[in-house]
Amino acid sequence: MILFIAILMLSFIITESIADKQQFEFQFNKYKKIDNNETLTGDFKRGFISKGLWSISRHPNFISEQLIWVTFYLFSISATGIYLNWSIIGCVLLIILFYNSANYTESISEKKYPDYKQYKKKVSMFLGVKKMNWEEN
Amino acid sequence: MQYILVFCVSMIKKVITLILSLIVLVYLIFYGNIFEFELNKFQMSVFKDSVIIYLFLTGSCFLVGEISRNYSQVDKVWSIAPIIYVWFFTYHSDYNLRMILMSILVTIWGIRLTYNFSRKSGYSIYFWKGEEDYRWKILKERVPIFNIKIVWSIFNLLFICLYQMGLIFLFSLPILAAWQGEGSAINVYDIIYSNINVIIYYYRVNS
Repeated sequence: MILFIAILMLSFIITESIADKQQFEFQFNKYKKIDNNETLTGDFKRGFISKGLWSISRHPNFISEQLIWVTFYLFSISATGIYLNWSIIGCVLLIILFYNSANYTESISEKKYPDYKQYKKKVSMFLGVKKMNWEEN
Repeated sequence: MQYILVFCVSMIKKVITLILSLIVLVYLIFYGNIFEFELNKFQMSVFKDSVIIYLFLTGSCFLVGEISRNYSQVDKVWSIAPIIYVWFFTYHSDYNLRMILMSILVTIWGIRLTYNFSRKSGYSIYFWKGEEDYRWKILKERVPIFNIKIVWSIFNLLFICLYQMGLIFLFSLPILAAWQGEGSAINVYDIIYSNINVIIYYYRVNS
């Protein structure tokens, strides 16, 4: 059981690092292209990343971070045998904070990038359940 | 103009709601009868020490932020503080195996996130400098009241420092619950073990 929780947590850490890596490389290349006066296409023209993990979720790094600490909480269940113990408070508050800060960040992105509204319609905020994936165009 | 006002009020409401939700939940844990927050004496003293570490880190972030006028100090500590907390508890538990595993995972998480933050030039050799979160500046533009120095300082103290650092401290605490559970688990085994001894003794006496 502990091993299963550990592997789960590790896999969310890996997902988060992939999301961060994709975002970092995108931003790096975007500013490089702008500095070199290259013609911008696709995501570079749009201004924000919508490929890779960012085509499944608008905040793959946030959802990973939330899941990391929910998984960390599972360790306390395995030790106490109490499914709903007091230490759940941390990950609950983290989920609430990240929901709010994602909303705030998006209100900025919408003003900066005209295509962001379309992206919001197609890709869900955290986990893509209902919405279809973002189509490249 | 009206739009700005509506936005300001909703923003301030949100911040207050976030802070209040933390206070209410912490209150419920310590003073409510919903959860069992029963630590033994030693665990309680270690927990109190960990609260002091939290207050020290929070105070440092607040002071450095106020002096340097760079309000991203908590972001620099975000990925490091949980590593300090979890190893602090693990050390005092005399290196409980489950807690070691939990601490190793948090350390991997923390190193990765620290690397990511440094890659975005969040850190500087002058520890108080480094790239500030672009969203604080926009928040000040959108909510004009935050441009009043004292109002911003209160926001810095309550939300940026106490609230965010509190959140970080709280999501590290399942390790304390794990330690607490380990104690009761040992008790359960002790009971089973002593019962078996009694049975064996009874069996021997009667045979």
